[in-house]
Amino acid sequence: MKREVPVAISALVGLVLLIDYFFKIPSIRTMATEIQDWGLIIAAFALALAAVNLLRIHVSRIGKWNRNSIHSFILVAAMLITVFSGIVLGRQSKPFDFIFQAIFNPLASAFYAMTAFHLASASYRAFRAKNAQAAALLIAGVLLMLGRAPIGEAMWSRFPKIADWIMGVVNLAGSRGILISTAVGMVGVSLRVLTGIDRSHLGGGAE
Amino acid sequence: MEFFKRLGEIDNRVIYILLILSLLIPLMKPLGLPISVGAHTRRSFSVIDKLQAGDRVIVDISYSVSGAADVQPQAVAILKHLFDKGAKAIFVTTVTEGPMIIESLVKPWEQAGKRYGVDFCNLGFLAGGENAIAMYCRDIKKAYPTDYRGNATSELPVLEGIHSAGDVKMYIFFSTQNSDMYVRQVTQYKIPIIGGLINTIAPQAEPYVNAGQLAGILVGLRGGAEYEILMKSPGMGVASMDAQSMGHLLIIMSVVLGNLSYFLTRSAKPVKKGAVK
Amino acid sequence: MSSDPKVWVASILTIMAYSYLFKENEFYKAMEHLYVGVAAGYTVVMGYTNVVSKVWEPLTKKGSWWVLIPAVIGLCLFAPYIGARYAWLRRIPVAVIAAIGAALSARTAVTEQFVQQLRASMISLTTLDNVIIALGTLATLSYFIFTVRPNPVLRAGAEAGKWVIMVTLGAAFGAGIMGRISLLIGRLFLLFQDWIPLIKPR
Repeated sequence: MKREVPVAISALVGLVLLIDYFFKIPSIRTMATEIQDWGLIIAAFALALAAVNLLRIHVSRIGKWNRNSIHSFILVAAMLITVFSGIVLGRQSKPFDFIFQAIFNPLASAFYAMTAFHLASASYRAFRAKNAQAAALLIAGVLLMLGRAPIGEAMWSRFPKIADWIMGVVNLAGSRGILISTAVGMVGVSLRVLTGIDRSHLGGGAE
Repeated sequence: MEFFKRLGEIDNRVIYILLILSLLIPLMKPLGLPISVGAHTRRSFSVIDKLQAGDRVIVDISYSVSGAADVQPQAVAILKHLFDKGAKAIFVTTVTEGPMIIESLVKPWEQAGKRYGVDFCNLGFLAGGENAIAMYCRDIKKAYPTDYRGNATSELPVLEGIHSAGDVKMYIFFSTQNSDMYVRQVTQYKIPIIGGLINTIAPQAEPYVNAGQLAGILVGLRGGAEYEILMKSPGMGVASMDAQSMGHLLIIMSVVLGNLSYFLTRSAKPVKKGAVK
Repeated sequence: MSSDPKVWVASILTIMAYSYLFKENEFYKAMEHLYVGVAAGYTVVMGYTNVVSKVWEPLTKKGSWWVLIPAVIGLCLFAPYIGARYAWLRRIPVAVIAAIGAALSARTAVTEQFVQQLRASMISLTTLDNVIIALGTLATLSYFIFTVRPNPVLRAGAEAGKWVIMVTLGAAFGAGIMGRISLLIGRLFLLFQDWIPLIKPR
């Protein structure tokens, strides 16, 4: 019962959306629109789930105060201040804008951009042409970089054409093959989910 | 040989400093290398250029702030093109940062006289990923009962007569995610789709452009720089191109030197006693 | 130097984050936690906004009571926090979201990713590029066929497919590096144009 009900709901939701797409029946269309809209509302609640989990973990760490608890304190304080400024003071308020412009935006950008340093280091230490196929990968990457940077074009006017050929011919064939393969896989997985054969997303635990 | 052995033991921090210098110096002292405009950017420009004054376009700003440096110059240039032509923009987003990014993009235009609700609107964030895209394309006012600024969408003049994505002239998305979900959910409305993509995901979008499912794409910072050139309005993209060139050269040299060091020192390494050859 | 407090805070936080490149330290860890906290808070605010506009306002202003159904289903996500007895209830919202996702992608993947892409591969083999595109696609596809007993043709196709995939990954590798360099350039503009004016605005 505790597993069958969610599986039945999955099947029903899936069936309505599939019938709507392939048969265009007005009453089913209204139902499908409503279901999709419900999905948006549920997804909005799901956004808070991660935050609640984080809060539980870090509040308990603050409770057992030790050297590292200061980090948990920073996390919890940052979360609560952001929520307060966004919900109580408003999304158009100056504090919320300040948090976005001065904290969230630069830190998100800084952490993601840090991968440039790691890639530079890896390009020196890890990207080795240990066999012919690895060499093909590296050569394609290097030619693409030369073709897409103005200096490559200044060095040899054919570099951009070579880069276009890699992207528009070989990469096109490879990406298309991968795309078609993933489409087949996706349809298979989706049907397994909708028919209840695959229930892994429902999680384990007591019946 | 000793030189290559030492080269292989170089400290990571030296590489980091070299990377910063290789980018910073050309930003301070630009080389002024010419930038040619690629076919993808040209095609996107000509598709957008066909818009008439008053045409309405859905613009999905779904790039995260972390990837903004690669995509934002494209968004700034295309937005200028849209507004210069008198087109109206309906902004939507499926990433949480999106509404704030949209607000910062429209701020200069609002100050220049573009009217909120009439020339553009910011419908804000919608949770749900692919379902959000499918839903706002299907019934935009049901998906968004209110906009980001708290107005009822039924009262916004810019949305008058618009029910689904089929009622607008074009769909433009800027994304740091894969373009698959946009193609899956928007192509059925038979309107031209333009994608502004972060470099990383651009190779996977080639099949969609080739098949005509995407009318055009802009690829990364270079795509932004090329669009700025077509708009005759050089900005952040063009200013970054020399630095990008030097960064690429440094990485290429690193790959070449790293491999040289590896192959030359590998053959010179003594075989340990008892090791299996 | 900039007189904007936002630029000062953003720049100092960026430097504290990048101190990790020198050595892992307390400043970096603090920035890591600060970022996660703010990002989580920001997500909550945006989720709240959606709930207000799609549940609270329709309920209070229009009396649309049925929006309570998805709201209650959404709240079931938090059922495990009430007690283990109710934990299974979270499967209901998960089932709805998974089913919507599966149905939405399955129904259009067939037409947009499978049929349209196969159709685009049916090209006249009059140029070398077209031959490479058509055969390259077939070779890549044969690499992903695991359900048929391998035969010499399939094996040869899969081997050729491996080469095509390697060049495709090479393109992704090159594109990945270009993207990361762009992001770092963005940070340098913050530090050396907005904060310390070493880069002249053009």
